[in-house]
Formats: sequence, structure tokens, C-alpha cells
Amino acid sequence: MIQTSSARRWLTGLCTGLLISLLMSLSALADEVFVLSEVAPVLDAPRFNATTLAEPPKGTALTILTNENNWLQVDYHGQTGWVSRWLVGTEPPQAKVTHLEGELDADEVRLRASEVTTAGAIRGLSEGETEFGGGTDYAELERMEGLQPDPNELTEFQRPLTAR
Amino acid sequence: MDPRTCTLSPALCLSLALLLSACASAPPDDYRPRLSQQLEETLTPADIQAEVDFGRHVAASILGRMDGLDNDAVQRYVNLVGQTVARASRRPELDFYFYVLESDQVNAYAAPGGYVFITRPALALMRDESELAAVLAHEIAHVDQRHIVRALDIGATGSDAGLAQLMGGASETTRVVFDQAVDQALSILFEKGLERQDELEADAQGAILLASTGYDPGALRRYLDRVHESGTDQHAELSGTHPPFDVRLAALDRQLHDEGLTGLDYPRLAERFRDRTQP
Repeated sequence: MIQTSSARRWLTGLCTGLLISLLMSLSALADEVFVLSEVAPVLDAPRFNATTLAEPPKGTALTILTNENNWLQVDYHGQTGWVSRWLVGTEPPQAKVTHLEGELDADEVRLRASEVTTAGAIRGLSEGETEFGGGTDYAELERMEGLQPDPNELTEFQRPLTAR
Repeated sequence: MDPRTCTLSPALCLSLALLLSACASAPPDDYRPRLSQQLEETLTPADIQAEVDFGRHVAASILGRMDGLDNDAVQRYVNLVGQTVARASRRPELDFYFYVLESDQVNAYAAPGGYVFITRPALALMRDESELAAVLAHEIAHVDQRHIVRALDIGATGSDAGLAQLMGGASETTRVVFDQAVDQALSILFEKGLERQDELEADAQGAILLASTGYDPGALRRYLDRVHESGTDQHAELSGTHPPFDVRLAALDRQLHDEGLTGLDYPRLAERFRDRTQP
């Protein structure tokens, strides 16, 4: 009986181990990556000073042929080239998420502030004080969030960089 | 529980040993990304929303400690540079925000979700726009790779799931943990710093962001070298939360060479930087 139980544990462990190894292997050998960056050149050699063959748009799926350090050799519309790992990922790009979608209305902000104050009070801190010191400044944060440039201004600003 | 049921079988031990040996085989100061981090990027919209909301609270807490520079023209310029570099980020789902802080320290900070800060003395040490782009690129890379979120110690379910639960939780316990997580993030930013490997990865990805968006990829190396040689107490502050300069510079040299990032003759834009940052 003990031997049967021991063998079952061995078998369970072996299966679990093989499953982990298999999952790791599948992850490591993902055969496709997606362009996540707005700029991800496909180059004719695994280095940035190589010739650019193509500039696939964000979201493009690239088939992986092989890899070398930080570079993936990929197939893009029948062309073979190299793309930096830092510009792609194994999942397609996600839809934009902004603080506005999760933004709380005024009452909820007050409630949240109250909750945080309550939490601080539980830990012996006075109102508006965190353990690390200082409070929050959402008015200044809104100033920060309001500084995003106009798209046309940004395009014009980038001209000296794209003109090379 | 019978303690024997907790014993790992030899086969499972073998698998775990292989996993651990794979992790341990990476050189300690290598600039190359950890494969495990790159391949496990499956975030739900709820995870991302939680990251943004949490980061927003951390950012508001930073602004509770330090004032922003009262110069809209400089703030707008820094935003233009930051938005330019953020185009190459692997997090297109995020909006990035950039802000210059009044401080007596040379430093830059990134809160989760896309909130990036740089101090006025750091800006004053720069000589051209590519150096500003380089420092912002380093911070964007921290956000891109969710270094702070990963460093948070939130429950046993992992930081991502933990954050989503925290942001949606209404119990007294989750409120306390939320408060603690904000404190922990601030402590990482201002006192403890991130893992040495995280900083080296941010340097490495930063150079790629620069090259991809057309800035001189050697800019971070030039800027760090200047901070290092400045020999001021500001230098000591920056080193307190980052790896030693010689380690960072050596890793950057290796990367610039290996990835063909030298001799590219990409713009530094010194004149525009001077015009837009000096009164």
C-alpha cells in the first residue's frame, strides 16, 4: 500500500515536472511576436547600424525564425530580417487605458481620501499623512496631466529626428 | 496535514532545479533582458487599469512631497521630448506624462502607469536634448517593464493580481494594504532603489528607445559620465538608489558595441535644448 502511494506520488511529480518543462519550452519557443512600439525597424543584420528593410506598423505579427541575444530573426511579408526584442512582445498591443477611464468622481475621490486617512489612522498616523511622509497633491497632478502636447505640435517637434 | 504529502518528488525537484539553474546562469551585470520577464506579459485590462490608478496615487504622493517647476514653457518642452521617446515604448496602452520637479537632488523617478519625473538640477547638468531624452527613456523603461509593480510585496497572489484587488477592494484590510503599497513604492523611489538588474535593464532599453526614435543612443552614457565626474553630493544621492556608475558605464559600453549603436551620428540637438530650457 505504501509502495503504491509512493509510486503514485512519483508519477504525479513526474507528470507535473514534465508539464512545467513543456510549458517553459513552449514559452521560450513562441513562434510569433507582435510589434508593440510605434517604431520597430526590421534590419538586415542584428545591429542598429544595419540597413533597414522594412518598418512594420504597430500590431504587426512577425514570424520568428531564430534568435541571437537581444535580436529576433523574423519573416515579414516574405522578407527575412532582424528586429530588437525590446520593441516587440508575445501578446498583441492592448487598447489604450487612461486614468480617465478609472477616474473617480468627486464624491468617490473624497471617499477614497477618507479611506486612506482611515487606514493611516489605524496605523497611528495623523490625517493626510502617509508613513513615508507628506500627503497627496492632485491639483498639481492634474497640471502635469494637462501638459500633453497637441499631435500636430509633436509631429513638427520630431521633424529634426525623422529627417536624417 | 501529513508532512509527507508536502515532500517534492525527485522529478519535480529536477524541474525546479533546472528552472533555478536557468535563472542563475544569467551574468549578474548583463544588460540583456531576463527572458522570463519578457515572456510572461499577459496583463488583463483590469491589471493595467489598476497599475494606472495606483501609479496616479503614487504620482500625487510624489507631488505632495515636491513642487513642480513653475515654468510652463520648460514643462511643455520636457513633455515633447518625453512623448517623442515614449513612441518606442512597448506599452502603447499607457499615456505617459512628464514633469520637472523642484528639488536639490539630481535624479529622476517613474511611478507605475506612465508618470515620469525629473528634477531641475538633473536638467541643469544636461548639455543637449538627447541627454534629456536618455534620462526620460530610462524612466520610461522602468514603466515599460513594470519594475516597481514587480517589486511591490502585495499578498501571495502576485503583484498584478494584488494591485487589481487593492484598487477594487473596499474592506479595511485592503485600504491598509493599499496605503502600505503606496509607502512601499515611495520607499523604492526615494530610499531603497530597485534591483540592480532592473536599473541595468532600464539603461539598456533606454538606449534602444533613443536609437529607435532618432536620438544619439550614447547620450545616457555621456550624461552618467558627467554626473559621475561632477563629484558632488548630488552624485552620492543618485548612486544611493542605483548601481555603481562604473558598472552602469561598462554595461552601456558593452551594449553600444554589441548592438551596433556606435557611430550612428544621430542628432543631439544642443541648440534647441539651450533655447528651450534656459530663460
